[in-house]
Amino acid sequence: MSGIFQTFNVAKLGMQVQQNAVNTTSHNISNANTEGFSRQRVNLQTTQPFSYAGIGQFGTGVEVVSITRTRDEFLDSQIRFENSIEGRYKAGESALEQVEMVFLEPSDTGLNSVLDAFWNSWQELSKTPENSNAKTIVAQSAVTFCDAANHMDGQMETLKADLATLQTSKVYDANVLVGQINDMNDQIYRVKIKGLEPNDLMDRRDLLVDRLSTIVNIETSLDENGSMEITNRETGGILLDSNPKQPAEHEMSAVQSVEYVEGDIDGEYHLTVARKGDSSDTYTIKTNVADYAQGDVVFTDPEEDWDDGVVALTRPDLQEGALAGNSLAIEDITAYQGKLDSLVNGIAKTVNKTHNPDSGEADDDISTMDFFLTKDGENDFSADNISVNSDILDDTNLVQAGEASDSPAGDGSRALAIAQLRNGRFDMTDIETDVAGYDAGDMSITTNPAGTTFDSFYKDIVATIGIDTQDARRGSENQEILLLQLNQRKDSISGVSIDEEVASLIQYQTAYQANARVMSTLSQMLDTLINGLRA
Amino acid sequence: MRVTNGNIMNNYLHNLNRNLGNMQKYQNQLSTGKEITRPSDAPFLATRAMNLQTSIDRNGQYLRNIEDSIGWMGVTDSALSDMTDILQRVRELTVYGANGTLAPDDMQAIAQEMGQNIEALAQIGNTNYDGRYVLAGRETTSPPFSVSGNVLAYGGGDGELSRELSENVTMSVNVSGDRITNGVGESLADTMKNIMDRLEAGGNSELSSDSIAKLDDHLENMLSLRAEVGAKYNRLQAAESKNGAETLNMTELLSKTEDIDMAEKIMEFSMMESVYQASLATGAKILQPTLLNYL
Repeated sequence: MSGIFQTFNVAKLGMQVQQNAVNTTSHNISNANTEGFSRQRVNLQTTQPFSYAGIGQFGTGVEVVSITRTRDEFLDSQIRFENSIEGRYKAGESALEQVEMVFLEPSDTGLNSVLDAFWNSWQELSKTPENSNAKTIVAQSAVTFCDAANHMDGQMETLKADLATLQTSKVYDANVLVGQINDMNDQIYRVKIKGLEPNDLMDRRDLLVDRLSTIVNIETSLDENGSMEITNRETGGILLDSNPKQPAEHEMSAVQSVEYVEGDIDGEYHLTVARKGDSSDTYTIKTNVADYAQGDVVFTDPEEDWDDGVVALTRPDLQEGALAGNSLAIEDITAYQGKLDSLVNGIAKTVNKTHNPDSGEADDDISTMDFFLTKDGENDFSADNISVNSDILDDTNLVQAGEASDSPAGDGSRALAIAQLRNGRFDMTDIETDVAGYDAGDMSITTNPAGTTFDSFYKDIVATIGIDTQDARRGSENQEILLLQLNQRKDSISGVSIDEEVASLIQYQTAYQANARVMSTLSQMLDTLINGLRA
Repeated sequence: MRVTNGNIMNNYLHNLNRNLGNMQKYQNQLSTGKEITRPSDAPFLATRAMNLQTSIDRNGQYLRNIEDSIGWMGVTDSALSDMTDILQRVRELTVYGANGTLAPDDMQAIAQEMGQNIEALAQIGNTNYDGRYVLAGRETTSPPFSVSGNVLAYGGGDGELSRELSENVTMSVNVSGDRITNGVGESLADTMKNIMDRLEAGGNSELSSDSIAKLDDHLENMLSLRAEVGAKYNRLQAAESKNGAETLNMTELLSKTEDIDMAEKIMEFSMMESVYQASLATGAKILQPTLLNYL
């Protein structure tokens, strides 16, 4: 048989537990807008009943077993995977949109119209070769062409350097996040061994992991103590050991620049590596491996000694995440630069060959009559090094319009031959072979049926950039929508609903009031018992 | 599915943002008048627009080439026509001088007029177009014909002046003076000199037996040169009208490729505007209330 005092205890437990529940409800409401917060619920169960022989068991009240967060771990890993795909597309999108601005097509000011003006100037010269104005215009439109090419290449170099800087700071962020997750692991471990659920700490850790997943593609797993291990999905390499005291398998660093030093026995490629993405902590590492490029992410052993200049680097083949996006963007830009170089080289070599009246003759003295020269003395032209022969700029009469250098003033046949190069098809990747087919008799270079015209080669470059950018934008938009839906699902599970919380609040409040009423009833019963039974 | 306030908020913001993005797209298209401003808007359309722009620009250059050539040919034709007239006059005078019945004074007068005609031939032969001597072959900077002591001399060059009229189609636009003077057996200069000598010698049977036949040969040559110029002139005019038609076609195609349809765009824009306003209005309603408002 239970006594009144025993029932007091039941009511007291009831009030305490309802108050705890209100506290958690209040915690939920106050964190309704906290990023990464998952709503918590108080799990109640009856306390150990009290057996009374012959009657049965009397209930002894209620207790809080645990406070847990509502979270779908599977959804988390799905979101993280999609996050890293989005990270890749977004990084590519923002980089390629800037490349589009470098090319500025279609417009009246891009390289397309500069080339139009260049070829047209030769046409005009072919009509009025006796007019020195026409020669000046040819020289000046060529200078405009060279300037445009130099400028575009410079802008792409700057863009690549900017991306490498961005990459370095992303690697830094990733390392900081890994460090913070490690700290959280430590704190969570300390709570877990006491048998408690560190809900808020786990929310904070999950948020950090979400952020990390946009930068690098990761997989996570929890050990029996709730400590998290993070591995890179592409390589399987461990980026964070679940034991907070244990160093991971890899540390991420960023290659800021690559310099080629011919003949260095320690390694011909000098990499400037920002350790853990810290741009104030850079090392020069020499290697003979040619694979490294500006903006690359490299893995090293965390216990590596960097000061001796010998560091074992591995180059992970990252596919997803912002780091991969930036690397791919740099690769793309390098490819566009290569195409632009081929175009410039093609134009310069064919014009030079056709421009020289001695081409194909026994006393072939090309250098004296070259229209274009490289700034750095290299044999091959690139968007970066092309310039107009300064002798021609000083004396525009050196522009060859006639068949021979002593041709009559009215002979514009060579200028016409140069203007007609525009119609020719050439293999830009092997222009030397095509140029070798120059026929001094009719001043023409045999057109290569397998080649392309300069105009369409340039348009192909623009189309490639357009398609790459479109692809990145489409991918990033798709990921955005997909993530929106996944996050909605996550929110429908973990998110705080104010309506729901207010309803619970009323529920708990009512229960609290009812428990209090039990308390006052008991008090009246005691009053009856003590005061009412007076003789 | 359980719906939370954060859920509604995120969804709302995403959609609102997307609507605003669409508004911006239409607004941009309306203010530039272009369907595409970047290659990534539509890579295929962008390169097609660039192709058309280049082709239109090249056609513009070809048109300038054709117009120049037409001007040049016109000047050449009228020079050749004037020269033919003079040669006709020369023939008349020669026939007159070959008569054998004229007094020495009359012969002298004929010889004098003949001298003037030789001067005139040289003068017309030195016709220039835009400062360039059209009948001088490639030596366009110096006058090709000269006369000294009633002897006509051609000191110009030879060779062709080619122009590109459309892709890989070139045409020579000049008639060099040596084709006029050395077009047939005896040079025009020699024929004229012989006539002059024979007139001054007081009339000579060779005037009728030789000179008239030689003059006829030169007239014949002149006619064939003029026929050639005429044919080329026609070809140029055909090229000009073809060029014009092509440019017109391509301009129209370019406009279809990159220009917006104003009416359609404005409709799309106002539809988007209503959607945007509707989303703002529902947002204002849906975001405010919670259960708290009713307790």
